Amino acid sequence: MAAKKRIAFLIVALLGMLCLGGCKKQENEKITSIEQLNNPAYTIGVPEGGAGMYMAEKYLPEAKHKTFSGNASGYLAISQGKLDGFVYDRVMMEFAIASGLEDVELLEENLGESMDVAVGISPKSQIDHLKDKVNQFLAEAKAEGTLDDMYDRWVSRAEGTMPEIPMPQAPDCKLKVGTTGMVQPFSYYEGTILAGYDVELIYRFGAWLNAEVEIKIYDYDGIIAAAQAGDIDCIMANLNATEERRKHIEFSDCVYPSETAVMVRAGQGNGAVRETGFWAGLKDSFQGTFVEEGRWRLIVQGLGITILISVLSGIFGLCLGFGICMLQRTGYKPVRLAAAVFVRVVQGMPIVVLLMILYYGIFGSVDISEVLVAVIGFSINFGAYSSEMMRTGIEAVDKGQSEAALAMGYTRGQTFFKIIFPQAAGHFIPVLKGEFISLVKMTSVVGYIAVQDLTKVSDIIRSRTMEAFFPLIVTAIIYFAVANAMAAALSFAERMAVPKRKKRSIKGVCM
Amino acid sequence: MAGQYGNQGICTGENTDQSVISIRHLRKEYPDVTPLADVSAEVKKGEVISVIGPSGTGKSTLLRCINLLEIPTKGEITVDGVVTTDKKCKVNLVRRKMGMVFQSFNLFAHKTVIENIMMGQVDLLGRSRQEAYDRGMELLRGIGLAEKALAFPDELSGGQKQRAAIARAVAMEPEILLFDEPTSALDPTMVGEVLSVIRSLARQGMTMIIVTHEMKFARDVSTRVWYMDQGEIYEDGLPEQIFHHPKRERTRIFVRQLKVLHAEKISCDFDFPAFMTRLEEFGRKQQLTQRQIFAMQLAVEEVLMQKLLPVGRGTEKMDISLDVEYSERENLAQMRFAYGGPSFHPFGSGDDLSGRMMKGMSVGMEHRFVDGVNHFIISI
Repeated sequence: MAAKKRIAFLIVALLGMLCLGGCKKQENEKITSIEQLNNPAYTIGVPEGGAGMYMAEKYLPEAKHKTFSGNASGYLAISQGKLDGFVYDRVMMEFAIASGLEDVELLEENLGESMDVAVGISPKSQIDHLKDKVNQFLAEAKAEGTLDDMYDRWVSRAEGTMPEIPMPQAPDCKLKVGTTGMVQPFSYYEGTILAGYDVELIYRFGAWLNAEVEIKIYDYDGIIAAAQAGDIDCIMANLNATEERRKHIEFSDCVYPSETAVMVRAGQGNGAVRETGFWAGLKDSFQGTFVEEGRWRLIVQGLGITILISVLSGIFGLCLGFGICMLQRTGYKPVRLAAAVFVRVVQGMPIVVLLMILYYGIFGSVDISEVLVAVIGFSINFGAYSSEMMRTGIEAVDKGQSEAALAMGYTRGQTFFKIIFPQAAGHFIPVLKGEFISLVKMTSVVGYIAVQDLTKVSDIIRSRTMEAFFPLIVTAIIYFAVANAMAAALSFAERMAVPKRKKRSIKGVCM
Repeated sequence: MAGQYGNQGICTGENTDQSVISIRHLRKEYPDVTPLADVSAEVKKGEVISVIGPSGTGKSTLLRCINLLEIPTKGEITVDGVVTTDKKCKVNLVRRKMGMVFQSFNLFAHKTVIENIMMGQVDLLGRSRQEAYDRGMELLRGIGLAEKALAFPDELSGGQKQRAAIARAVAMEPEILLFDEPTSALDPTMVGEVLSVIRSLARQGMTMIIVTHEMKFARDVSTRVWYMDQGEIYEDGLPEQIFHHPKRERTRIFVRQLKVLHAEKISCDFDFPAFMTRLEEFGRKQQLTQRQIFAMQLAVEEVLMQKLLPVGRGTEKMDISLDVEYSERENLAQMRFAYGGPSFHPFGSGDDLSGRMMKGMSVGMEHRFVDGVNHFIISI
């Protein structure tokens, strides 16, 4: 009975959240023209660094601007009434509406002039004269009509499927390309497979260059930094060659021009009233998030990455933490001080910042797996926190016992490992468990350094299904389940390591 | 004995007499205090030495220096022929020869009693677990704790913990056992059980140094007593000497647990009313009866004002001083007058009124004349 009640309560709470999310801000006047938005009373969303931002600053200076890093969150903000307009690439927004985004519409007129979409070139690329090669490739593809054909297939007719592009058998070099994986029809996940105009362009260029292709997935706000740092050779991500971006990286010639449009909330009469019931809606959402295109496989992959990073960071972090803790206990003041400073610095730094420093800074020019960077970052973070916990645990063991052990003739090392540490472990393991659980949840920021963990994967799915809540709640439930499963596993390990003291027998002795 | 030294496997010094421990000019300084100023001593095989003295006189520091839980500032300690204050000395090997029992027991909280006793034997003496267990149980039976073998330390009473700690130390087969106030943290009801264990170790001939506040125990069990005061071994002697005929003043005051009120240069100009008040306060503080306080005041009046000062007037300076000592144990106050001049017993001349009064109020009077100084003692 109690279990049923609890489940009922949970469902009511979820429904409540959905309702709250659905609540709309008080309606402003219906927006019908761009000119209307150029007014401080209106808030418009602009994409971080993109053409939309550039155009909005140029043509809608009066409106309040809000920056969004992903287009999906911008669309949702419009449909929920948090924004009055969202300035973005027309083609992409049309695709979003076509794939089921509700309660929104595009204004007829374009905002400003059209802008070049080009290939971003990393100044640190290992490939010589990459820019010239890209330009040559583009010119040839244009001349052959390949680019037009691609645009026609992917964008105009929206019936794109990835063509077979033969991969070079004996590649001359390696080509690392950054893309977003989150914008239909240019770069998106068809199930677990990357597809789209840009993706086809990447493979075609790879084949043309006779290079082995590696594709990395970034957010728009991370992709420029990645190219700058030399993590990728070039960017093919429907990237507008804005003046701002040209300061940081180079751009190829124009691939195709893009138009900027404004998305607004549809008028009350226009918005299609949802006829589906709650359960049917839930079923549709489930269908869209998990079943269609086999997206569950993407979720499983993301979950695997999340667990991999958490577990490895947990293990290495624990070792690192123990090391730091030992350093802090040495008699040499400089060593102790250095360890303390390290702990303070790491504790005082947001984990995202630490990850970015590691990824773009320290390992910027090293060819290193993003997952490894994430493991290193989280190990450092977990190490700093766990070392403090170990230290307090060790200090909590009464000093008299170590004196007694020393007086018996134990060396300092023996005293520590046989007397002090086992008791300290009893103190710090329960706290450490909690810290580990929060580590699991903290890993959700690894999307910043191009790792596709559970959170990033759910973002990707959200960018396809255009659904606000279902993927988020599913993600929350998965994290909850994973965290609790891991906590249970740790509790089991704890019981093994620190046996219940009621066990009244002595090992290896015949009593 | 000589053979045993050979078996230690550690370099032995040329010192081949039976000294287990010898301490030379040991000094321990901290930034703000110097608990040990200059200590030199020898401990021979089989001796049981009690270390007594007021708090803060370096008794515990001395023990902790001996097994190097504290590093001495200066001086040299030799344990079983090994100079432990030498930097090259393997401290952990030397410590195995010395068992230590602490005031706060310091049993290993994560291990059962028997595991506490087995650990050192297995890890350090290389015994098998079975051997260690058997030896441990034998020791536990000897101290009446066999049935607590599988209990954890926090399930034991203080007395039981301390007995287990002693068993743990004894299991390591040390040459000498150091006890650092083994009963100070115990309820009075539990002191007896611990002392009886130490007593039986003494009977078995174990060499021991015991820092203690249990005077009766120290007197009964030890072969030698060190009275420590002012950072040194102030008096070193047999228990009989230290407790009954101490040679030095501080020792006497300490062993008789005396409380003292001192006054000197008493003359006609002495502020008697103020002294009477001090005497009364002293009496109150030591919880003397009103009768005893009155008797003390009366003694001051009769002896000083009626006898000594009138006699001394006009003669050479008598240099009178008075020590009032109260022994709580014996509930006895003694007024010790000392004065110069010729031998003179204040109430020796006859049966006058004050003499009879004093006899009635006191339990005894004594007069001695030593080296030109009169000692007159009234016990109340």
